Amino acid sequence: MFRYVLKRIVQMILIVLAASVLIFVMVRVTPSDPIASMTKGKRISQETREALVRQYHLDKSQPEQYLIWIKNAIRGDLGDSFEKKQPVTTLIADRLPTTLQIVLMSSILALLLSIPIGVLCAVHMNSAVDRILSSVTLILVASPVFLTGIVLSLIFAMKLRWFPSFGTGKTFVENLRYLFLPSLALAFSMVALIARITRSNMIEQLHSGYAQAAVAKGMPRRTVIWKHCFKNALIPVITVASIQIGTMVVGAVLVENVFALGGIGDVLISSIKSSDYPVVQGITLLLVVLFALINLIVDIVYAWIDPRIRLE
Amino acid sequence: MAEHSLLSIKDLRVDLMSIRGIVYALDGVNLELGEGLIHGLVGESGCGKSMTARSILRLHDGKRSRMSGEILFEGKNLLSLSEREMQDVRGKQISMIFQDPMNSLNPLYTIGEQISETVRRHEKCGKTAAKARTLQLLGKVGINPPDRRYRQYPFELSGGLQQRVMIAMASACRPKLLIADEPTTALDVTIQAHVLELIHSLSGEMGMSVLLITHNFGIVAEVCDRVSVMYAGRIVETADTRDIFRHPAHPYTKALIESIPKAGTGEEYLPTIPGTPPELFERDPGCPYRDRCPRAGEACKVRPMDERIVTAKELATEQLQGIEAGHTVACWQAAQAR
Repeated sequence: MFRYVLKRIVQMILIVLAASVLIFVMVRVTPSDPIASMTKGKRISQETREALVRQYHLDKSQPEQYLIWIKNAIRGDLGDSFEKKQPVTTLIADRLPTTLQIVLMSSILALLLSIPIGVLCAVHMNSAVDRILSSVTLILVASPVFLTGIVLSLIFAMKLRWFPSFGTGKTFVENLRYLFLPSLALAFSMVALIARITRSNMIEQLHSGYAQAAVAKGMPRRTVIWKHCFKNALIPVITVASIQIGTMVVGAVLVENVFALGGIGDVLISSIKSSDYPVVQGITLLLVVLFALINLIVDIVYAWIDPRIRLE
Repeated sequence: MAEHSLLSIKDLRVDLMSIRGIVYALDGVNLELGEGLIHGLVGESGCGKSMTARSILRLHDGKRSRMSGEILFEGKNLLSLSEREMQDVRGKQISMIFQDPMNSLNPLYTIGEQISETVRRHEKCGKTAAKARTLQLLGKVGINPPDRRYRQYPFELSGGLQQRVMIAMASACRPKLLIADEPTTALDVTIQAHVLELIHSLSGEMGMSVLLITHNFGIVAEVCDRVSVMYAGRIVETADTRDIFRHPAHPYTKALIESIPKAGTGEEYLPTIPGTPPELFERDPGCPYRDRCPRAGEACKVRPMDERIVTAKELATEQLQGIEAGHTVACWQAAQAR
């Protein structure tokens, strides 16, 4: 088990490094002028221009620039924003908690909704319950996040006034209330897929030999469903859920917009527009690290669930 | 034949709802199982052997099947029990092992947990007591050393050991009846004999009846006391094992026995039965075997099967000598056939 986890961690580091090269190259192939971003388009003298180029190491070769960036990044310094003249880490630190909280809350909400729905549909396969729930989740996945966000906000914030319609709270508990609607909107987009995967895998497991054997030895239905089948159906569910949670970090930008929350997505988009290299690189690298961490956690959960992976 | 029967199936019919229509999978099965006996159930694929076995434990999907008839187990009709009552019968009074032991074990739990779970369910005992019982069971079915094996997962065991685990699980609560659905089909030939021997010895030791489903007459000859032959959802012949090999009365049974490969006879061709079994989309009022039967006559088309179940005693008064009592055959031509 220890060796398995160690192997995954080494793998994760290598993937992050490889991704960092890719990020660096891709930012640089976009046709744009970083100096213009720093000066916000104002006319500057040739000397100022050269000074800026030197200050940000833009005169060095690209491999050298990469090495400077990655060395600093490992030390926790992602450089300064061209545009805002602030350290990128400060920019991220201001915005990340909101985004992470939305992602975490919507993941939990999505799992709490989709797994029971999936299991219920599987157990009552092809019944009215199954059909109704499948249709509802399908409608939810078909409607874009910003639309669900607006509709939820209209009903629960404007009309019923149960939740605030925009902004974030000051304390953690207050935040839970502020971020509930945005998280729910984001969660709805995940529910359908996870519920479907849960349903189809549960159906397969419910028809498996060991499920029949468990019934044949007198196990109550609840034990057969939850102890035997659900645990076996879980691995594909976790795989899909983890990918969705990963993409949600980016998807959060939409709800952040609707509910005026100012998360990390906002900054990323605006910095891409203005060729703010350090910010784009810093945030993208952070997203890669988050993705890799989610994957690592998922790999550990796999091993914990399945002895065949643990004892490989 | 036993004085009184442990299990008595009367006119069991199972209809399955399929995409292509209703399948009359079992069409009036009658079967008596004596106490402490190993009763073989033979027939080709799709004839309803497993269907019969699964019906006894009511493992069918209730939404896609309907059952009628009676399955009397120690006098009570299993078909009229509630699902909750049935759960107490399964695994405690009647248990079952399946063809593929790998698929019958949950890959995510240790074999120890899977056996002791059964013990805890039926014996209402604590974890420690259940574990002690499980270790004892593992030793009994020849899985050594029990304490190390207890912590192993199904994928760490060979097919033969997996089937032994299933047998330990099935016999955990000393059931009156063990249903073994092709228990050796998925195993290596060398292992088959060991597993059969284990079932045989447990049956003797615990006075447990066994319904052994197989398509292999060789297995029947080795371990069964009695045997029933199934064809197209019906039982066509039932007799003591020795009797059926000596005096097969039904043309289908005869053909089956003739198609057992015999070593060292120098015969080049293995006799086979021409044709295929009928599809069961319609209720057939006649004998289901008549299309493949060399002796089929007009009578076979119209006469309902049930009238043609002839006991050996009745047959003996005519011209059949040497057939013992308790030999039933569902064939109108059986008398003339000899």
